[in-house]
Amino acid sequence: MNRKDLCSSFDQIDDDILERSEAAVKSGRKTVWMKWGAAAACLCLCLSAVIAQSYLRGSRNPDVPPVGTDAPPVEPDRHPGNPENEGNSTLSLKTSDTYANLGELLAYLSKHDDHRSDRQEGASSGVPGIASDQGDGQLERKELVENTGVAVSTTGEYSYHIGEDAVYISRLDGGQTQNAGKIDGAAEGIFICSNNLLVISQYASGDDPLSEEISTCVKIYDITVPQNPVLQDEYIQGGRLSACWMSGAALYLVTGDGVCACGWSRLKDPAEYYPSLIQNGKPVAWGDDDISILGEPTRVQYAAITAINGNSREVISKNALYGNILKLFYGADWLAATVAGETATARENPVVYTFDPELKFAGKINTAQIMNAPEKNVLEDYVPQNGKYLSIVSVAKHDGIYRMLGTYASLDEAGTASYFMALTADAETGETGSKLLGAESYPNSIFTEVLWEKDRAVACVGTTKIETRFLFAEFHGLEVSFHENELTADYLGGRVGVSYGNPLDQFRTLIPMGNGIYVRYSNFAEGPGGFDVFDFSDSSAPLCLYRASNSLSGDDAFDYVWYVYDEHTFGTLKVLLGAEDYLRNVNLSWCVYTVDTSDETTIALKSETSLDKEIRTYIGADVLGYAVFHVGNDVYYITREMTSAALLDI
Amino acid sequence: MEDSQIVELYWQKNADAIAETNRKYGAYCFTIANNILHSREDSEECVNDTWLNAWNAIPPQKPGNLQMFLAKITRNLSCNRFHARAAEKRGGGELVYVLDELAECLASESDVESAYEAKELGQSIRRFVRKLPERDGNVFVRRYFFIEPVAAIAKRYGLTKNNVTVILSRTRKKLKTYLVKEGYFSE
Repeated sequence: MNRKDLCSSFDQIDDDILERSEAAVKSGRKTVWMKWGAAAACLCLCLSAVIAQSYLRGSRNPDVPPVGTDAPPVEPDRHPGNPENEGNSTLSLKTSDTYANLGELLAYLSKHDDHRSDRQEGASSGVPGIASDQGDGQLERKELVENTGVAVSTTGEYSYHIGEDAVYISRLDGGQTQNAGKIDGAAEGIFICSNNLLVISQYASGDDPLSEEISTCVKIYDITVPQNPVLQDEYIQGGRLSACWMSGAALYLVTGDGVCACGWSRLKDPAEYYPSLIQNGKPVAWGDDDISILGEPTRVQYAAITAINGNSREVISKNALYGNILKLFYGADWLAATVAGETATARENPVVYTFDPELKFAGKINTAQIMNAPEKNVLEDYVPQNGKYLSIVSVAKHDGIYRMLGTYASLDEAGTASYFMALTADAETGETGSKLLGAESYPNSIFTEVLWEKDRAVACVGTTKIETRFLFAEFHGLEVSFHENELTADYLGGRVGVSYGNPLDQFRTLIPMGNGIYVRYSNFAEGPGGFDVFDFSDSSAPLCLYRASNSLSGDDAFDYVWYVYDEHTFGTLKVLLGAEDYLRNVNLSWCVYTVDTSDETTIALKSETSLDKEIRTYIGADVLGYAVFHVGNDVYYITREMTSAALLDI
Repeated sequence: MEDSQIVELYWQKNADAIAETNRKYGAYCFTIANNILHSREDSEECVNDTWLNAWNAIPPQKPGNLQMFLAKITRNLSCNRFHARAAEKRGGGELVYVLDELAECLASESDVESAYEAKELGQSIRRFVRKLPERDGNVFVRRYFFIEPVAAIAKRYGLTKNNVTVILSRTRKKLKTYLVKEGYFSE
């Protein structure tokens, strides 16, 4: 046989297959799930839905309310647990009605693995987006510690921060602060628990950069002698780091991985599809009991989550979530994964799977059932057909009730009707609530920021490159109400913000000053010092107290990281690009602003202090990261290039 | 005119059959030929030969899918003309690349073949393509049956050229494994 014979043999392909290829000409615009927020170099995969005209079907009569807007909430068919099994509720909780174990999933996917080439392939795929329940401190977050790149010892005398190629130790002593040592090796996360320092890092192994294996490492050091950390334990978990945080004494580590499961996969051993965890060189068993299959995955990708006790240094629990995970959300005592699979012919509406602090499955929230929508919508070659399309953008939990914000779009022959959507679900009783808000006056808008507070969510809704509007959703138990207003602000989706170690590496535009007063960056002069001031104390009547008319601290600069001193004073770290060499000689200064809302609101630059720190490259300024933290009344700052924290002596 | 009506004209040996076929599928068959031959003159000759072949084949044949029936004739004629032209050192066209790509699916090449093997190979290919996921199958037949350029396939389905290249590469690997399993050659 030769190539000519092979080519000739194609003559025997069935006519219907040939005809199908003719008919499958792309029609209409392929729906694009846009990234939520203006994330900089993000480790996470964030998906969101674009409201309204992305389907290009025109608008339906907005006077006709959709089903479910004012109708009573539809009770889900199943309790988030499972009302059909009143006996052993643990055994009755199933994350998937289709697959009993990973072996069954692999057997199916070996023939049906979705090889959509617009998804990441190989070991780096399947990294879900992570978001914590952001808030202003009023929620039950006091035990939740985010990864900020800096950890301060319990005595407040030493800090440990992630530097360019090492973890640097600083002896904090006001203006006498200086370097006290280092731990070699680049890191991604750092925490302190009692006298233990936990350092998280990633590394690649393998000779071929196209097929390297990424692993995440946790090293736990005894810092009884702060300037002399002693390595005690080392964990290595396979997969790329997605996120890490601490809740109480537990470190949660999330890594993502995914491989092809079809018969032509490079991995022939089923054991290779299980996450790997090694403690001090010895494998830690990861079996079917530590795996949750979420729904009906269309490919093998998982988020492996391990909880490690920061005091005892032992594994508390672990769970690998296999599924089409769009995002993970977490709080001090909960974790939620939004799951929605998509193939060329169908798109699932999201199901939110919830887990307790021990990573045990705690129930699922079927958004389609709440909204009386189909669990799967029909696509034709990825083009949406008539149906009801839901998305979940953000999840929080308060007083045992999950709160979700997202979008709802209804497609039919008349066109597309789009809504903002808020859902609630009581984790104990299974009762749910919902609210829709017509989005006719928010064309092409996406959620760019959601700030969760005790009883409400403050959302920035952006029309790409045009403007931002503010939407408030107030929650009272299961009841939700939306509050609209006419306020607008600059769209900041394109601004790159580096918040040192922020879980999403996402620029938070709203600076809460307290008492409902918020300062927000404006787009003025491309740089810092342009701020608007808002009073959001009354959701039904928000006010713009001050609109930026200029950049207070000059042009050709970017500001990253803010710190609130009190309700009238905040500071930002300003990065000034060199005049002589635009890509180098970046200088830092600390700008302090005052906000006076007593009479006519004013905002003024109180002081600008050169930090006399030169960053070698502009690129470095963008990715090196910065941190600002306080110990007592002293405020310190750090950049990756620095080997010691430094006092912000203003 | 509906395909069934055109086929009926062939059966009646009505010369209008050629005119109607040319009107409906002339450009279509020309595209297939030109993808292979990359020559207007040669492609037009192949299209004309297609009508002659169809005239001679119908009856007794009564194709249920006239479009694909004609596509296969044009493809076959064009490939034969290509190979003949290649023998005369006149090259060009997409088929060169297609044949190089398909060579990846072969463990080795041999000019020795049996008619039985040729027929069986065709059936194997037919089964293989039918089992492919729809999108991968579409891309595969556009490339290796219709000899369509990668860029054209990408544009047709709203993919990037890289997407198409990756799909084709993976599918060829699958085909090779499949042919090994079917016993056409050892690994």
